[in-house]
Amino acid sequence: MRTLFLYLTFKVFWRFFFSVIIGVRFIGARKLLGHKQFVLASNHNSHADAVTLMTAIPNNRLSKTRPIAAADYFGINKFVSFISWFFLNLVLIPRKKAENPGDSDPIEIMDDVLKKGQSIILFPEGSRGEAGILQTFKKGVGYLMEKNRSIPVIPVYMEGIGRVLPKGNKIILPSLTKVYIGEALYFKEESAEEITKIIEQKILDLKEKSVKYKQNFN
Amino acid sequence: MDKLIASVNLSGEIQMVIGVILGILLLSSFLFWTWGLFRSSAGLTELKTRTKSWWGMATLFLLAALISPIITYIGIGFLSFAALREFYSVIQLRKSDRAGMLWCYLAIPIQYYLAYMGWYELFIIFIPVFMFIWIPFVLVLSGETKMIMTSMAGLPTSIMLCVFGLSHMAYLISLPSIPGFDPGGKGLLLFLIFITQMNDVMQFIWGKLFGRHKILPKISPNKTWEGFLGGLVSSMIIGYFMKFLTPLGDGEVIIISFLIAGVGFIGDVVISAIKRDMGVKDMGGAIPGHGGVLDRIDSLSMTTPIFFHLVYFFAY
Repeated sequence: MRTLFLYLTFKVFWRFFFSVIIGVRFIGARKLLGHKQFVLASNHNSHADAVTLMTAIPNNRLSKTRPIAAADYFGINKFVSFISWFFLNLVLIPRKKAENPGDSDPIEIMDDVLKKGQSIILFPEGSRGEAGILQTFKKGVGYLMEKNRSIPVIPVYMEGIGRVLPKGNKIILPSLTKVYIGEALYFKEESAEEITKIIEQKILDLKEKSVKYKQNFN
Repeated sequence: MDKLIASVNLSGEIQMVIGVILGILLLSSFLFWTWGLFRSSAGLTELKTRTKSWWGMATLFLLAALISPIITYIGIGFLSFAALREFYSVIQLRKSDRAGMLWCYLAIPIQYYLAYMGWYELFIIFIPVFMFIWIPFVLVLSGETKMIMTSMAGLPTSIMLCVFGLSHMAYLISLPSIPGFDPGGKGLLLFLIFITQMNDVMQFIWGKLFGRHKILPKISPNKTWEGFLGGLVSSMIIGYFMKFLTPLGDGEVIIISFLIAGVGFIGDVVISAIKRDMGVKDMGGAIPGHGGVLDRIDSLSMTTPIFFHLVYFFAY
C-alpha cells in the first residue's frame, strides 16, 4: 500500500510536474539502478530538491528511501511532521545540537535508518545555499559513512533548481534544470574527514561538468 | 473513438500537403543514408540528427494540428510555455522579478483561451495593452528598483516574442470560414509553418552551397547574402505552388511568402543576438541537432503575426 501510494505521488504526480512543467532532466539516472542500499549526497538550493531526487529513485526502492530534513523546519509540530512523513517519506533530524543538548544525535538517527536496510537522501551542505555556490560540507556524512562502509555514496549535482524555488521566496516557477548523477563511491579505509572531502570533490567535479556543458559556444 | 476519427475530416488539399511533407522527409533521410554509405563526416551526422528531429516534429505537429482543434490550442499553448521557460532559463533576471515572471506564465492560458473563444478585440490587445501596463506595476510592487528598467523591458518583450506572436497560430483556427475555401484555418496554419520552416531549410542549403558574403558576421556568422536571397526566392516559389492552402490570389500569396522569408530572417537574428549577449550557443537542448524549442521557432514568433494580419487584410 505504502509503495503504491508513494509510487503514485512521486512517479506519477511529481514526476509529471517536474519533467513537464518545471523542465527537470536527469543525466545518468541509470547509475541509481542495481544498488540495494545507497546514500545519495547532493547540493542543496531549494525545498524542491528532495522531491526532485525522489522522482528519480527506482520504483522498488521508493518506500525504502528517506530524505533527511531539518526537524526545526519540517517538524515544528505533530501535524507538520506527520505530513512530512506521509507525503515525502522524510526522516527528521535536529540541526542545533549545540543549543539544545537534550536533542538526540542526528548521526545516530541516520545510522538507525541505514541499519534498518533503508537508503537516505542527504544534503551535506546542511542548509540551502545560493544557486551555483557550493557551501563547505558538514562532516556528518563522513561520520555516518565511517560506520557504514558497505554502503555506496552516490554524488549528485543539481544545476538550476535554485531558480525554481530559491531560499526566502514563495513563488515556484518553471526553469530548465539538469540533475547530474555520478558514479557510486565505496569507502574502505578513509577517515571521516577524508570521506567528506572526497564526496565534496566529486560533487564539485559534476558541477565542472555542468559548466562545461553550458559553454559550448562557437 | 469513432467520433474522434469522424472529426478528423481532412480536405484533399491538406492530404496532399501531408504527402508532400512525408515525401520531403523520406527523400532527405534516404539521401543522407546513401551519402553516409560512401562517406561519413561530422557534418553529415549532424544533418542526420536534424532530419530525425524533423521527423519527430512533423509527426507531433501534424497530429496536434489535425486531430482536433482543442488539441491544437493546447499544443500551441504548450509550445509558447516551453519557449518562455527556455527564455527565462537563459536571460538573467533578478529575484524580485519572480512575481512578474509568474504573471507572464499566467498570461499564456488567458491568451490562448481568448483565441479559443474567438474574442478578437480582447485577444489582440490583452498582451500589448493590459500586460504591458500590469507587468511593470507588479515589478514596482516588489519594491526593488535596482536594474528595474531591464526587467521592465525584458518581461513584456519575452511574452510578445513567445506568447503574443505564436498565439496568432491558434487564432488562425478560430477565424470564421470563408465560403468555397475548404482547407480553412488548418490550411492557413499548415501554409504558414511549411513556408517558415522551408525558408529556414532553404536559407541553410543555399548558404552551405554558395555562401560567400556574410550579412551580420558579429551576430550570426553562418548567415550569408547568398543564403538569405536564395531562401527568399525559394520561399516565393514554394509559396506560389502551395497557394491552394490559402484563399488568396497569385500576387497576394507571393507578397506573403516574400514577407514570411524576410521577417523569418529578422526573428532568427533577433534571437541570435540575445543568445550572443547571454553567451550561450543554444536556448536549450530539447530538440537534438537543433538546440532548444526557441531556436526552432525563432522565425515563427515573428512570421506568425505578420502572416495572420496580411491574410486578415487580404481575405476578410
